[in-house]
Formats: sequence, C-alpha cells, structure tokens
Amino acid sequence: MVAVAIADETEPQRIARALRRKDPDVIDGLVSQYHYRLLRYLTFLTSRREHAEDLVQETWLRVLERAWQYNGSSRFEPWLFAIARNLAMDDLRKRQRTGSQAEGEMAEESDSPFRAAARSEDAMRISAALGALEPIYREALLLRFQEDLSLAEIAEVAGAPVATVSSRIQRGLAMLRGGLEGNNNAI
Amino acid sequence: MQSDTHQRARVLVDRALAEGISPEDQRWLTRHTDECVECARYTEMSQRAIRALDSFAFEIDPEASRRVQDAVRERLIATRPERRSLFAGVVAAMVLTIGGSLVMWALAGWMAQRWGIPARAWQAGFALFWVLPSILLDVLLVFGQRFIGEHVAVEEGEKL
Repeated sequence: MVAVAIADETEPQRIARALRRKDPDVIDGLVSQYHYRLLRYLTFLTSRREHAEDLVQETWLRVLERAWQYNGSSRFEPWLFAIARNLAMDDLRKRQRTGSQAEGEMAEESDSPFRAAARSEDAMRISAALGALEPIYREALLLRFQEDLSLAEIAEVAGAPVATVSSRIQRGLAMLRGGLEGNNNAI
Repeated sequence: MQSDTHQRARVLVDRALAEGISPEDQRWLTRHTDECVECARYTEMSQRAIRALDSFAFEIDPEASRRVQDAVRERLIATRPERRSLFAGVVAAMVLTIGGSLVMWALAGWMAQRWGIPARAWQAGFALFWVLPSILLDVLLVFGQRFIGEHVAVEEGEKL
C-alpha cells in the first residue's frame, strides 16, 4: 500500500519526502539540477555574480533547515526561489546599511554580469537596461519569461500581489524596449 | 478615441505577453496590429525584448555545483547526530512518562485505599490531574513548534 502511494506521488511530493528524510542522493540531484537556474536568478536579483554564487550555497543550506515547510502541494521552484530571494534581500539590506552598496553600484557599470552574459546583439542592447532596472523588475521578467512561472507563483516568490507583479513585468518590458530602441527612456 | 485605441492595444500586448488575454481580445488585437504600423512595431519590440532575455548565458564553473553539494553533505552529516540524540530523548521521555504514570497509579491507589477514597473517585482524579495535562502538553509542544515555524516563514515573507 505504501509502495502504491509512493508510485502515485507527484514530483513535488517526491522532493518534499526526500527533503524531510534528508536523502543525500536526491538533494545532490536537486543541487545539480537547479544550480544554473538559481545562479541566474540570484545574478538577476543582485546583479553581482560573485555574491550570487555565495548565495546559491546559502540557499541550499537554508533549504535543509526549512525542509519541513515544503509539503509538495505546489511546485518546488517557487518555494526554492522564495528562499533564495529572502537571502538575497537580506544581503542587499546588509550591504546598504554598511555602505558597501555604493561601491557595488559603481562596479556594476564596468563589470555588468549582464553584459558579460549577453550572447546576441539584442541581448547586448538590453544589458544596460537590465542593469539599470531595480531588482524587483528584473526578477519579475526572469521568473515570467525564463522560468515560466505563473503570475500567482511569482507573487508567491516575491511576496507581492498578482497585480503588482503584472505591473512590474510591464514596467520591465518597457525598459527593455527602450534599450532596444537605443535609449533609456521607457516606451 | 484614436489614442485610446492605441493605448488599449499596448495594454493588451503587455498583458498577452505577461499573463495571456481572452480569445476575443486577441482577435481585436490581431486586427488592430494588422492595420496599425506603430502598434505592430510595439508588439515586435516587446517580443524581441523577451527573445533577447533568452540570449543571456552565464558561464558556470564546472566545479561550483560540486562544491555546493559537498557543503550540503557536510551539513547533513553535522546535523545527523542531533537527530539521533533527539530520537533517543523522545524514547527516554516516553519510557519515563509511561513508567512514571504506572508508579503514580499504584501510589495513588495505595493512598486512596489508606484514606478510604472510592476507587472511581481517585481514578477520575488521576485521569484529570495527571493524564490530561500530559496529553495537553504534548499537543501544545507538537503544534506549537509548527506554529513557530509558520510564524517565522510569514515574518520572512513580510520583510520584503
């Protein structure tokens, strides 16, 4: 009966069960599976590649601590990204308090992770616009168009209403259009 | 009116990309962009912007994922003895509780006999003042931990 129940479980339920049991093999697989996506998300959020790599590891350690909170009733990605987001925002607030954020912003212009990651002419054109966007707009764009999360899932990750998420996406798109047009003014 | 039409088209373009629109709105939008060069261009630029997002590729250190896996395994190993201690503690608590209850039951019965208290009376009193508080405490401990965890999760969400 238990075997039948396990065979019928969804992928999120399987992940939830493995996290609660602290199954090292499954967790290894999750780390590997989500590494690039987490790194990309955290880079979009922080616009600092080095910080993003540190935060990826912290995210998984936090996942271990909070494993009991995930019950598999919804997709794993929103829960994972919400944990990563909280860590990134805590890190951002800490840097703002210590004044190191100003240094980071100056470094961004010459060391933009978006410029380094651009692989097409259009990507190069919008890289500056991406860097100029506030993190919450970059986040909304990434989660919607790269991670293919629904607006409700993005709202869950960002802790914001769906209408706010929709507004952020539209604002972000406006900035990107401006980048393609060759100016920084939103269309 | 014209500007309202264009504004409506742009709103629909953005909404279609972000969350989808109704078939009726899609048909209206398609008819409009077939006729309006400016709005057609707006649509094209929006779609190009989204395609451009697909063109970002971050280089990954091949060992980075392995380092994270190692860190996670170290944490799993470090916390595992705590789980064994916790399990042992729970078992010990249960043994002491059951054993202690049996001892108290026998003691209460002996004292009731000495003082001439009817069996039903002392047994009801034992259930009320010994067993029920223990059960209530167990329930509070179990659900209290879960409530604290949820409260922390809500606080984390509210920070943003």
